[in-house]
Amino acid sequence: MVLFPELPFARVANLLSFLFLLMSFLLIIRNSLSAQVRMFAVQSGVLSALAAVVAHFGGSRELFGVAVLFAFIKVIVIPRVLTRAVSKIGIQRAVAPYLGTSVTLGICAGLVVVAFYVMAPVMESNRLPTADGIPLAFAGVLIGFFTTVNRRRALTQILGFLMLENGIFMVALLATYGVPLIVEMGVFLDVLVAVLILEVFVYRIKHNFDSIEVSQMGALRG
Amino acid sequence: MLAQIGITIAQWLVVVLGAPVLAGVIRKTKARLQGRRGAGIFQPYWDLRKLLVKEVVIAENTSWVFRLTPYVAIGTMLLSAFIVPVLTTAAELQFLGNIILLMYVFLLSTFFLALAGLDAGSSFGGMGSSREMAIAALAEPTVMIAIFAIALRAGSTGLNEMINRAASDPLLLLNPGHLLAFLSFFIVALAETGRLPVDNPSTHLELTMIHEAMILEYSGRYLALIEWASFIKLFLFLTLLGNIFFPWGVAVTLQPGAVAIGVFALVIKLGVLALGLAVLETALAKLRLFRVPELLSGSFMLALLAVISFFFLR
Amino acid sequence: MLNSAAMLTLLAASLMLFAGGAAGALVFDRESGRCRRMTHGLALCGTVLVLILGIAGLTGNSFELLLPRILPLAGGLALGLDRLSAFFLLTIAVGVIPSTLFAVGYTRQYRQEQALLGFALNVFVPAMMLVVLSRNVLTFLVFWEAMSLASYFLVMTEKDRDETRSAGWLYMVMTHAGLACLLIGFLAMLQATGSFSMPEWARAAEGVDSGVRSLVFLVMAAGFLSKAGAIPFHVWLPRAHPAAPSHVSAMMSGVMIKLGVYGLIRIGFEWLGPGPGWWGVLIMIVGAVSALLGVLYALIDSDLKCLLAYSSVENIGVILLGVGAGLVFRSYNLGSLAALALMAALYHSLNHTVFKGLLFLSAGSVVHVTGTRITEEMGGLLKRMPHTGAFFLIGSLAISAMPPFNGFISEWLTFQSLLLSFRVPEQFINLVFALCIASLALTAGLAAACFVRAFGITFLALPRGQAVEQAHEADWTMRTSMGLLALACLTLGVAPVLALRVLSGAVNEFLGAAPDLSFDWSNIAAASAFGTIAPLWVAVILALLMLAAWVGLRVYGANFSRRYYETWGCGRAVQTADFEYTAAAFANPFKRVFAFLYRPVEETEIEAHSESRFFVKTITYRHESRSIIEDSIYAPIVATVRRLAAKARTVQSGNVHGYLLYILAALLTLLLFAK
Repeated sequence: MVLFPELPFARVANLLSFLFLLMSFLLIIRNSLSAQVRMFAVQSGVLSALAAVVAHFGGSRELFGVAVLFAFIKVIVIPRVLTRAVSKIGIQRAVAPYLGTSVTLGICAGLVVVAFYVMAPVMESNRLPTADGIPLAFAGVLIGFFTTVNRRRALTQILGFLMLENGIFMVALLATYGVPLIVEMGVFLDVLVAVLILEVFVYRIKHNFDSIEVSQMGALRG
Repeated sequence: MLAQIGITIAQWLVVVLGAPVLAGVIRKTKARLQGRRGAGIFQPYWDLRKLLVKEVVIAENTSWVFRLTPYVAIGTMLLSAFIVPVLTTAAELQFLGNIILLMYVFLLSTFFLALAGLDAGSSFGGMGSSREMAIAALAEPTVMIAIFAIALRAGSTGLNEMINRAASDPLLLLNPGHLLAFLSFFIVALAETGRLPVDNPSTHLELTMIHEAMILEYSGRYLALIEWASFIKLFLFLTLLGNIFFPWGVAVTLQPGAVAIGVFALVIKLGVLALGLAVLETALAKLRLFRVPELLSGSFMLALLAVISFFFLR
Repeated sequence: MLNSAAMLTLLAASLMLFAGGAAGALVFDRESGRCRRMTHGLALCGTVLVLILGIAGLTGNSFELLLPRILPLAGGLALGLDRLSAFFLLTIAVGVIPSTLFAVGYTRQYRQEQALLGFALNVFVPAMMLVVLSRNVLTFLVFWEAMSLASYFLVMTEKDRDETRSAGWLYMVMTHAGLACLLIGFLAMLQATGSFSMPEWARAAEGVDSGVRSLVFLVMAAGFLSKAGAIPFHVWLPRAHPAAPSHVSAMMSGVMIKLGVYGLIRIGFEWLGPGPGWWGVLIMIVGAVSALLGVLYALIDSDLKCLLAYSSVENIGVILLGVGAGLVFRSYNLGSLAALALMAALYHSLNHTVFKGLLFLSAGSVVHVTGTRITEEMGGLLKRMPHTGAFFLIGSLAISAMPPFNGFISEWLTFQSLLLSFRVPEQFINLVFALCIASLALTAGLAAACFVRAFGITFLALPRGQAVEQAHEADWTMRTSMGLLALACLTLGVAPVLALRVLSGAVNEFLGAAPDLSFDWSNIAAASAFGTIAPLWVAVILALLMLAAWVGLRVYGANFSRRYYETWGCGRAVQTADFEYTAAAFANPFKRVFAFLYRPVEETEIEAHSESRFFVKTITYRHESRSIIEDSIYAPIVATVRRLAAKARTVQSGNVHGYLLYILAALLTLLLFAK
């Protein structure tokens, strides 16, 4: 059953893909950790909406389930956990990237272009209406990766990792309308557990060293 | 022909006479949001009238540039009011030029205001000029790339064609390039018209002012002209945002009915944008001066993404 | 219509006038006043003939001339005139006429150097003219070198100053490095086509291997770009132009560097045949970088003439953007767009000649009366030099591309041609164009800031030094020449049709494609309705509306009384120039935003009274910016050359027999090779 047949699937999917990328950019621009966590939640929300749209037009009931599960874990649970970590650690601003915002933005724009370049053959060969969004999703992966490289604090590195994971999910979603539910659930569980463990880690690091500055780990080399 | 002249003058009058009330509405809404009663929405008119009957006090060190600038400021804005399609895209006086001309006309007025800021020889004026020029210069690439993004889809840099083309697309808001261009143009509009979070229009603390510091030495009728010019600039930017990005209701013919709808649509769009601006200005604090470039580079990236979306999406 | 004999007569007449001027400089070298009037007067008359020649050429007259007896080695002296050459003749004349007129009054201060100045000028101007007319390799190189040498002597006018000597030295090195590049390119093409004649090359180029042509393009582009002063070959320009007398700066910045652009256009579009798209992309990138870095360095420079020199780098960048875009369009067979882009570039080049000439001349008269080039020591000059000030303001508005002046029209055309790049079916190119649009826009904004600063700090507010207090207006020849240029700024801005008509003819003949532009007195439309503008109406309506505002206030009955009072200073008792915003302070936001580029070094020393550190005696603030190009490109080259030179010293025995041995060895090697 298709509710809005006149609404072109490809354009809605494109729009959501772009919103996804936009959220990545906003996450980079924002300075405070809690705002970044909020941005991540919004990005995940966009992604679950995209999954729902794909499920709707693609007629896959299983994917609806994935969308709902995704929304639950990434829009509600993980941001909660992260927010709790933020308030425990008590550093609100001081995101401390290695590079300035403008330079970071420039690099990210470059990554978007690279993504378009690398994914051009994939777009050519993929005839699905959602194929246009694939480079955007891949750009999300690259930006997430870059964020983990660029940030000093362990917590923002977690955010970068989560963005990366979001991007991977989205590539799968757009390229093949998602992987089977069982695989997806496994991945979700992994991510959730990883976040919980990392949160505990961050908390312990903070407790022991009074800082979550990753660069200080260099001192451990002895 | 007569209808053409009539509608052109009507549009111009709407801008020139309607600009102060828009400023009044924004101030009133802000006051309400901040829990104050605020002055009436027609207060800007009374302010202008008051200023016009006041004596002008001129700083001794100034030259003729200082006395010419208010006329340049109002002249450029009155000219811009002819270029922007406000109610209809069927009026032909927009032959004056495209959106690039419009942006340069705005820059011309900033140029003279900055000179006037330096002319009195006070530190505040110089500070205002320097900062205003910095922001204007850094906003320029975003403006052009946003224009490029719109022009790509419209196949023209003419304002009428841009609006007509946007209006003919029923799924306009589903277009990522369109939305990204809107966001970036909105941020630029905030910077160019000196609104929060770039500049605070209601501050009178010398060290935080930008636009206000630049025109600190002005009084009487000169100040009235400059204030009026900045009301018109705000009106034009909001109209551009409303008409280019949300083109519904803009009359495509000169039928009285269509024009009436155009008036109605304009009032609604400006109302919504004014409300949005007031909410934004209440919610946001002013950015530190040296964080403004970050904001502008962010908006530049959005505009660039809009362009990329045009070239890379089928 | 003039026949070719009449054209040649005109050419000969102008050459004779220049020769007379040069001879006069040598004859009257003891009588400074007569020498000054005669050499500059004859140069002026000669240039007027060049102007007529240029206009005649642009209206469709042409000639070819081959004198095999002169320079018989390489096919004789070959001259020719087509519309593109004619357009550059026009540019030369437009730049040179006001400058020589200005020089009549301005060079009064150079008593000793009068003969040299007059002689070099009368070689410089005809050499530039003949470069544009040259049609074979040797002719071109001879005049190119004559132009470079003459300009070197002009730069060296104030040779007693260390600064001038080092600038002249650098200029000499760079210009000969450029010449070496050109030689390599010319020889390679000679080898490949077997002809000395450049028009022959254009016909034979298709047969030459494209790899060879690309290499030749790279080498020759480097040579021409070094003359044009494009980054990274610009290092000589901001030193040599300020060191020269101001009328020479105006000619070098306004005219001579354009010949680099001329050469680039010739090799890119004609001599080397059709090239791949990346030639254009490369030129565009050089253009975008030059424009941006040029204006950024102009923005922080406190030396008025240095600032103008850097702004020339910027404008060359803008011109190169148009040229590069034209090359790209042509390689994608978009002929009418290529013509549009080239037209924008040529128009900007003419406009730059006009407004940069105006700015250098008015800066020259300021420097002349104040004796300083540092803007921080000026201020308040508008009241003491009202005409010069007004002219400088017009030049500033024009160079900042403000409507209704000429810079705006050419920048608008450049924007239109860049925006139309979406017709190129290649995403990578589209992206390059988008970035070039952004950098052009940023350049425009920064240029406006730069000239607000230049005019505001120099001419507005209170004088900052003694020299300024005694400043007086320039004499009539200087004011007339500036007035002519100011008028040209306005005319080319409100009635661009005058220039566009001849330009579209020239571009059409040169590229064989009509530009995608329709225009008449009131309206210009690029690519039918893609972008339209009505410059004349904009100017008229703007003027009327400003008048209407004034009349409106009168009619409304606004209060027109005015009172003069002190500037607001937070309640301070006195207002002195010390409280004014300085040029350094004005540029500070830009310094901070672009700190990664300027790499500023700042030092603040505060000397306080011994009782309390809050009672300050003196504050010394020092600020220095490094040039990223010089540090990262030239410094390593210079170091390497030094090292090699030190090594080469071991070969220097100082023994005559040793040197004779070297010569013998070289001779033998050559003979063996030639076998």
